[in-house]
Amino acid sequence: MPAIAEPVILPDLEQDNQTGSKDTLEPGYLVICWNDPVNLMVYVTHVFQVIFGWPRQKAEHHMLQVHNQGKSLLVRESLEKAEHYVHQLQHYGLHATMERD
Amino acid sequence: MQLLGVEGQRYVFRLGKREKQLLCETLGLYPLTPRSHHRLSRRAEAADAENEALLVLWLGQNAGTIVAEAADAENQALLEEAVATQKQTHKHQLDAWLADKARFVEEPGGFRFELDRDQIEWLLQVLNDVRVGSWLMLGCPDPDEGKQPKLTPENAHFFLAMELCGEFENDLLEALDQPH
Repeated sequence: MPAIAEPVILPDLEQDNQTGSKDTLEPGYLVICWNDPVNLMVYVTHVFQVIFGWPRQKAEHHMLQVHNQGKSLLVRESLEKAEHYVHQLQHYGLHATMERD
Repeated sequence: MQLLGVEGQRYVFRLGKREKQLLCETLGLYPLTPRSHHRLSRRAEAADAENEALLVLWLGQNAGTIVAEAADAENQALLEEAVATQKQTHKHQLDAWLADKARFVEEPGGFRFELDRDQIEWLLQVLNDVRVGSWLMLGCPDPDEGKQPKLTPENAHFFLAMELCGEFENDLLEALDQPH
């Protein structure tokens, strides 16, 4: 992912997503965003904010995961919701996929 | 491209004459990213690459797996159709937007134009499609990995398009960050 100019302060994140053990959750689908050399970091952050309604800090956290680790697990959802999110991310040109949990 | 100010929900920009020409030429490339670039899952990507092996596997796998793979193919087709429909809609919007004679108001040294927030989001998607499509035309360069663009006389203009789209995207995103 191409770099941005300003420094980014990593947030002290609270536990997010679903709580409870995996066994208590319905089977789900993972929405994953993958790194690529073409989507700008600032653009990826913006897209996460728009699609998921995340605050800037959380969006940047996931963007940096994509950039540094090659991918980020964005959400775990039902099939329909996961498809919806992947469609939205793809509309913005991000390399996002859904995988069975 | 310079943000002059935000008036309510309207973002007012200024473009130089050459900038406006470049913006319009770049937008004229839309849509550029092919349908095949949009993959629903990594599993679907693997399936496309291993068609022959899948046929062999199909013969030996249980029905549940076969049904799942058929569902993957169907969902992939749905994604491609959704993306194609969206691009068709955006293309119509873009053509109308560019054809509007009142879109760019000429003033000394350049042009002034306005966008609301929805239009900025739509323009960001259009610009990024051209950026990603240009990147694909250049052979998916990755400077961090030492992979340079494969420039030829036929594709060199995509390098400019890719860079310009990045600049315009940055300008629009900075505008959205402005307090109003």
